Amino acid sequence: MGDAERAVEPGPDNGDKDNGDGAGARRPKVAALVAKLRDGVDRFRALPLEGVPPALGDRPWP
Amino acid sequence: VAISPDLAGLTIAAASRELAARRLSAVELVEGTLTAIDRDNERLNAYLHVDREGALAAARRAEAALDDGRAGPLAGIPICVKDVIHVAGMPTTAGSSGWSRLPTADATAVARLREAGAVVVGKGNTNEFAFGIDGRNPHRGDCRNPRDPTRISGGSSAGPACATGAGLALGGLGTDTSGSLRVPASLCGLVAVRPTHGLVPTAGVVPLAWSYDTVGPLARTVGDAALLLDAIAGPALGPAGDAGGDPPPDLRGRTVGLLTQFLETGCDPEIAAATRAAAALLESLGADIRPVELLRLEHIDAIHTVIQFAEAAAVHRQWIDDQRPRYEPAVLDRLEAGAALAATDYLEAQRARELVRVETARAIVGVDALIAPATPIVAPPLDVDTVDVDGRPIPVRTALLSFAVPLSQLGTPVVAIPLGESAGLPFGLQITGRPGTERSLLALASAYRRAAGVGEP
Repeated sequence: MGDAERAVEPGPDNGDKDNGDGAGARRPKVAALVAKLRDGVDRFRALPLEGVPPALGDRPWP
Repeated sequence: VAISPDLAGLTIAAASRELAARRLSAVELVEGTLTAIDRDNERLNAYLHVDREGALAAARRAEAALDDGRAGPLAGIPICVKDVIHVAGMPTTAGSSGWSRLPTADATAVARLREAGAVVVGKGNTNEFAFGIDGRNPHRGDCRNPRDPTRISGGSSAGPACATGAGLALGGLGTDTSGSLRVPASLCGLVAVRPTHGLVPTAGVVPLAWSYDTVGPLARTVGDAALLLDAIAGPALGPAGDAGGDPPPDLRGRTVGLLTQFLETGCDPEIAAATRAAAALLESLGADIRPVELLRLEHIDAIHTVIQFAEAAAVHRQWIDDQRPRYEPAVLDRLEAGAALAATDYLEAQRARELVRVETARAIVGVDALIAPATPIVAPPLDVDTVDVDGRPIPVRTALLSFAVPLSQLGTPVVAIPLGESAGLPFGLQITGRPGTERSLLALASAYRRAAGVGEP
């Protein structure tokens, strides 16, 4: 986003529709999600990645 | 849902012909659109914001341009813009509860649409910060499917899809990171184009994940999608004559890969059969059909999720502390998980993505296009979180993303077109090819649609 905008005052929060973060109720869910992601990382790290750079930016089609 | 009799069957191409012939005025067209919105938006939730006065003023300017013979190719065409894309003078809320911006400049894609004469009617509903695939929005109301309002529209480009399908706009502008144009197109029976990554500037768009974010059109026909893409891509797309223009009815010499993995498991059998039938139809037009397997498919969900969550967490880092109580819980969980990843996890995912991209490019040398279903299911009811896919219960989010995400890894253009219907609910086909082949893919899509007898007015 560029300079050609301005923030406006935030609206009201969810009120009664508390997303549970304040009570830490969702931390186990986040922890489970992170564990699942790290398991995926462990698996794809086993791919033959030697010499492969990260796909950052728009790279030319091989 | 009653669809406006004036707008339901109208395409951008047909409206432009009527406008140019002065049998229809731009003001009448926009007034008709506003009337349809007044009648149907409350129950469909397609629009979060409607700029009635602005749209009518733009229609009057289009009318004057038509009178003067200096009208652009989209003069007077009413468009719904997804609410993560800045439109000067309209609030951008990204479908969120409290976050908002009041941009003073258009996003580049919007500016290009307006330069072509299009009339931005308002801002379309979206999953919160485009971080969802079903079009449901707990803050602003769920977007409904125009074919059956008890079902989801798909998302996150939900509002533009619903508006286009229901006659509340003639076309839409949305974004596709994981599948957010193709999925609602599939569930609403529309055409969408996810352009080559980087082809259409994302300036003025609230980011979700930079590595995947694209801006593209939603329309009722392939021809209309091509008109919108022409406008937003600018000269980068190349001249219309480069890759076909009118579709050749004879596809001899062209090779089309059929992504068979998607048809074997995790797909509604009716959709799998329709995809095979589409391949057979293309073969009857002369195309050489070849089964193709996507490499490393078992890793793609993890690669995509790590990159998307980490990049989204970086985007939201600047305001998450202020906005924390306002986020939809599932979105907050994803952002928190993304923030917990290590930089090395992210970089390993980008290396794995590069491996997938390079290996796929080499594997499809000589293949002009790849086809696959856009979604493995039709639109589920609004109130379900799990769907039965080929006898197995699967979360709706997982099912809707399962065929779109793999193609998002490649950075290639993807055209989604209506493929068929099951019990009155549409489902779509994806067509992808090498980067920069949008025109060729659109020509193939149009050839298929004509041969299938579904028409391309």
